[in-house]
Amino acid sequence: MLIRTQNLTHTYSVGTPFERTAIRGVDFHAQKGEVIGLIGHTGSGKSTLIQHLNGLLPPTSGTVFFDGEDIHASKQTTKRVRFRVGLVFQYPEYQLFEETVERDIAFGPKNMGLDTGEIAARVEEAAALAGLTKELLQQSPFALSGGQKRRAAIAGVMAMRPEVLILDEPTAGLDPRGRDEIMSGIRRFHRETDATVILVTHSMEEIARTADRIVVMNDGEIAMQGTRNEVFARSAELNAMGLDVPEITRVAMRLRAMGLDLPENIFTVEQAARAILTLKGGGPNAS
Amino acid sequence: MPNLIQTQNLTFTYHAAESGALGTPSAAAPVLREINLTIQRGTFVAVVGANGSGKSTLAKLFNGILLPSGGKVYVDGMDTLDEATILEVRRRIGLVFQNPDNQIVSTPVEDDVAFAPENLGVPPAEIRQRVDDALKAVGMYDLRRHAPHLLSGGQKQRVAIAGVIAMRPECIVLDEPTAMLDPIGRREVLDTVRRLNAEHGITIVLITHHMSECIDADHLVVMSEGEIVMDDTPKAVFTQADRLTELGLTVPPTTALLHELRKSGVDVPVDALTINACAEAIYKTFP
Repeated sequence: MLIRTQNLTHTYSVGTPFERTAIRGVDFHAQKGEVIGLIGHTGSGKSTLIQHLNGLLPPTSGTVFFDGEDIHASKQTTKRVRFRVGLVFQYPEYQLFEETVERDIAFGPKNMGLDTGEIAARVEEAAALAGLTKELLQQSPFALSGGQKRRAAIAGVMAMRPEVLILDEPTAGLDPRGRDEIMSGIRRFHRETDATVILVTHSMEEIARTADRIVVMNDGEIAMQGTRNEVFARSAELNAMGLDVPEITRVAMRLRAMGLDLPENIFTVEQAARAILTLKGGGPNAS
Repeated sequence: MPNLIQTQNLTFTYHAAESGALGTPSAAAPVLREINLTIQRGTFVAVVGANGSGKSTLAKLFNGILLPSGGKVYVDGMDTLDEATILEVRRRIGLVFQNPDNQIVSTPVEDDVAFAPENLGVPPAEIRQRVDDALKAVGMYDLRRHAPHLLSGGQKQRVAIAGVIAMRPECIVLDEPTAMLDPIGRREVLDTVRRLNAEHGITIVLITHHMSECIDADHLVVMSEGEIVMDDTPKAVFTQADRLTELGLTVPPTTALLHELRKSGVDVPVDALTINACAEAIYKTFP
């Protein structure tokens, strides 16, 4: 197990009238190379949980382990974990500040104390993974489009070559093309580095397309986890938790209710089209 | 007068000092060019377009937060450039933005909703009535004594909408009101918007990146690089999937599935937009 929390609890503003327990007794785990979709209603504790995974927030009680070691065992351990677990916040483009995109992406590797040659190699690699062209690297980050800015900010975290990449709502506020570009960048990063990816999103479509395993948070606790099939099969429970299944899954559920013999594991447009064509006898899997 | 909002050859250019908004790469280039758009009283109009296409700028021109660089905006026949009537214009057109946390000014909920009518000098007894009506209209009356920070994202956004409704506007312009919400929060806000339109006759202008949210609109306006490139019913717009892809946009998953099936030779209409309509259209192709 690469990353693991044990009985993790976090309470904000302890001892004040605003005291609030955001997560309670959470046992979360992620293996090397896994892509995890973390979903839950607003205020369910997702953001609090992920901020523990790279040591930004200290637990109120419980432990966070990275590679078997308590990440708060010593200051050095915590610092090391920050470079190995990369966290991309919501609207990360607000944190761009350098004169060129290249220098912005180089900021993380520079902080790691890498030499100039290595920094340049990392910047080039991360820009390519995030889908940014060489020409863009010399521009001011503020001259980029909304989607490009977001990718530049994500590249800055990818350049640290984290073993775990955590992204909090990476596509919020972007147009459909911008969303596609971000998601392709994340999938490319995962494919080429075999890093663990933890994706926090409100888009069930993105989860359906990307995640190996889904973890569902509800009111500060892990309410469900499993494969897409296992989690999206429980649509009534998901609804009660402020969530939903992908729209195309609802079309397939409706068709099944009408009597069509469609499989239950339909989460994307391509899967739905293939299953319908197969049922008609004209699809690629027709017998 | 059936036209509530009308623009004539509307052009807008940000001055250098005001530039830097998301997706405005060049300060000198016009953000909007020769926009001629009519929004009729009581209709539900959705506006889509890539980041930087000028959607949000257009919204701010509708109620005179921004003023035309060229051309005109008329609200209920009043020119937004006319200082004598600008308050009347703002009273008729209410704006709701993406982030509910930036729009809530007071606690508890009912005080927040009373903020605008108080500033308009409405007599106390009428304020009470307006606040109650507004909270009932968005389904938040039972939570009127709650502190806003304890509400979910969808609830907060509905309070923000109630704050606008308490001004008794003719029209509400919502700029990506669901971008930060979870699936159920999104549904709550959209149901509220649809109800305000259908039951209270309030004109709705909904700016969004989510194509599924446009399905029930009377008109769907598509913007690209500061111009209106399509203005038709959602059915007619979504039939042109390839054109939308060129513009960096997409179609709802239902339409995408129908297009996919047609490509494989299945004789389905592509304009069955809702989940039920889509399922029925597919079901009918089976003997």
